[in-house]
Amino acid sequence: MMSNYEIVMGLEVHVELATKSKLFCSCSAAFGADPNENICPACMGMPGMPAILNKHAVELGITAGLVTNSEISPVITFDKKNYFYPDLPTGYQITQFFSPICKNGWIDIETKAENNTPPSSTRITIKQIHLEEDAGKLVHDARAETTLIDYNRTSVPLIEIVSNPDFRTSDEVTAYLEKLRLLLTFADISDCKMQEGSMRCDINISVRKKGETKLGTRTEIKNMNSLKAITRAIEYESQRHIDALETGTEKLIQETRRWDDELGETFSMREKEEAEDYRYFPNPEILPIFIDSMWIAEISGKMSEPSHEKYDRMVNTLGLPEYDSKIISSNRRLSQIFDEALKHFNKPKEISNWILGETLAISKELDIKDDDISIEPKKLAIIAKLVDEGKINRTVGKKVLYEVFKINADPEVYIETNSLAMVSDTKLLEAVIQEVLSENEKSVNEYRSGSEKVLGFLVGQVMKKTAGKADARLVNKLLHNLLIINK
Amino acid sequence: MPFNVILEESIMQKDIPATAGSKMLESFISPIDATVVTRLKATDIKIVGRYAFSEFGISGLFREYQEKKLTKALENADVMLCNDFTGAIAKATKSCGMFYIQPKYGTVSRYGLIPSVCSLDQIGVLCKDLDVGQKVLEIISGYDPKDGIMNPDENAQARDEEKPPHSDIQKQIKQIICCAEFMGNMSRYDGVKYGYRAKDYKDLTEMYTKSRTEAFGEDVKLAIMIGAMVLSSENYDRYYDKARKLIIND
Repeated sequence: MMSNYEIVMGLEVHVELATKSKLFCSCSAAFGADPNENICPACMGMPGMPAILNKHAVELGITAGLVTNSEISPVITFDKKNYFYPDLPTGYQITQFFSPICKNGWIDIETKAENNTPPSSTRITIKQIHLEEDAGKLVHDARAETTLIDYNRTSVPLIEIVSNPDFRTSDEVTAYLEKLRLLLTFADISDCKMQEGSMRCDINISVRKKGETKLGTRTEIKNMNSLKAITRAIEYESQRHIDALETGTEKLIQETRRWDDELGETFSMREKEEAEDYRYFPNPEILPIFIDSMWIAEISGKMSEPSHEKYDRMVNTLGLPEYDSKIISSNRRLSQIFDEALKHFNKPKEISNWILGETLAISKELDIKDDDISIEPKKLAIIAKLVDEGKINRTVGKKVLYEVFKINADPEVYIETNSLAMVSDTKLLEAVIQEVLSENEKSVNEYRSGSEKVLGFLVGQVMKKTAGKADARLVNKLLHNLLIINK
Repeated sequence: MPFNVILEESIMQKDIPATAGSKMLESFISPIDATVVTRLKATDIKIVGRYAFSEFGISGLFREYQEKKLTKALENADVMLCNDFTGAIAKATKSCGMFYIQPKYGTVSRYGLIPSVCSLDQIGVLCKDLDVGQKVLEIISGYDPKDGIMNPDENAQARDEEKPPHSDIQKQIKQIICCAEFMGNMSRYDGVKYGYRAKDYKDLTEMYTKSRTEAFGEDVKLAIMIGAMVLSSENYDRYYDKARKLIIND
């Protein structure tokens, strides 16, 4: 039944901009502060506080236009969107209704086609990008039967990226969101953390019989903040539409719906929808901003390397494997660590190994998301270098890196204090090996009768006796020699 | 300059109620000094009191101010700082021998001025003696980074012959624009964060409705209703947009 129908979707993606301060006052826009820590009379909606526009937010809006191939408006203005809600302290949201900062953009996404055919490229067109302020956050306290308001997020700058109804599958939707995330994070426009709400999206969805050109009745699913939930919500909602059309048990109406992730269903938010008229009008408090080509060129000149150029450079200039390059160039933070570490130890493959191997293993163990890895890249470079120069062995290196994660240890000091420098004194190691061999006659015999795998066990015993500090390569060699000589 | 200055209730003084003449803001204590207040405080001018011509100054849009209102305002002061966005104060001076100096828009900081109609809001000087008024204007005017519409290069302070933008447009056009902007500026008074909140309400909507019904006066309500009407999606083109285009072409 599904195959007779086509799903048509458009996305509205809200992205919090990575500015230090809010859109119209100097309060910090940082995430994670205590409730109502980052507020002032202006973002609390008190009277007598003229709006002062944050120039950096406008610049990030321009940057968003550049990375999405959009036309950037030569003049922008701001408008008031009027509605009452306790999280909106002024009773109006300052947004761009009449003249958005960007128009007519596009990005290409790659999706895997069905039946394992090679990936195909689809162009998603962007209707507009506009700048606006975020609202505060209501916290419902069920026990006290009351609602508290946190105004920290009030007036934090956002861009809303509005696509045309170009999506046909949930794979296209997630590919688009991932591509946007790459473009926006690498241009330092936003950290795009869906789990923290700095990237969230509304999905406009309708279905129609294949071949039909007219759009079906559309519903909007609000405030989605995980790719998994988005995929499930699209599946649920499109099936609901198809069922409604096929069986006629439910009449589809244009409405806003909320996704309940636990129940796996969407619910009508109709109450809020009733006769909503936002009474948009131009905000006379903010003068028009003129954006000339010189300003755009200046911003364009300062933009950091986009993900795909970084990938090309890693593969072609630095000679790294495609696999390594793909993973590192697909994450803003890993790329930063890579580039910064490379400045201190110029062996790309070594740095890449330390990132993809040890760094990701430790962050996984400590349950740290890739975006949130806060180690100093220079320390990673020092460890990689010490290992490469044979000053410490790899096991010790990993241990030191772990301490960098845990207590921000200084690698050199930590190695010194804990006397972790590598033991590569042949005489000393030979003595230890002899000891191990005499203690493990069974294994020695097994080796000599052809079982090479016990060698690993014996090496391990030597490492244990040297508290992991022995030069493993040297131990291997010596052990091998001694086993043959004594044969 | 031992002048005495009185402030309109819409000009905020730190730790003092700034009511804008409204029951809505009777309990609102200003957290800041308006820039004009800071500038006055730096001189030996004395701020001797506060006065309101009408609630948020909006009555001037619907009727003329009587002469005695002005006489009363300057009973104990040489000068009053006030926001004559409707033009009613300037008009009333003609019959009582006072002067109202309307500075050029954007030359006196509006930081700490409770907004009524942003595109016309401007602190001016009501005075009995033009020279005294002019001296006070010199003190309060000049660039302030806290007011986003001010231009650092513009320091020209104008005399009373300078008119605010749109001051000569027809009454109807002015009412449409003023009510629309005024409505937006009144939205922040919802009983949630500060100001008046009704005693009994069963839910959020009733808290909004009761608080605003009980605390706003008739003229404020009238202006809000007109504003909501001319900005509604069905009337926007017919009223607000048309009025705005007429101003721009003016």
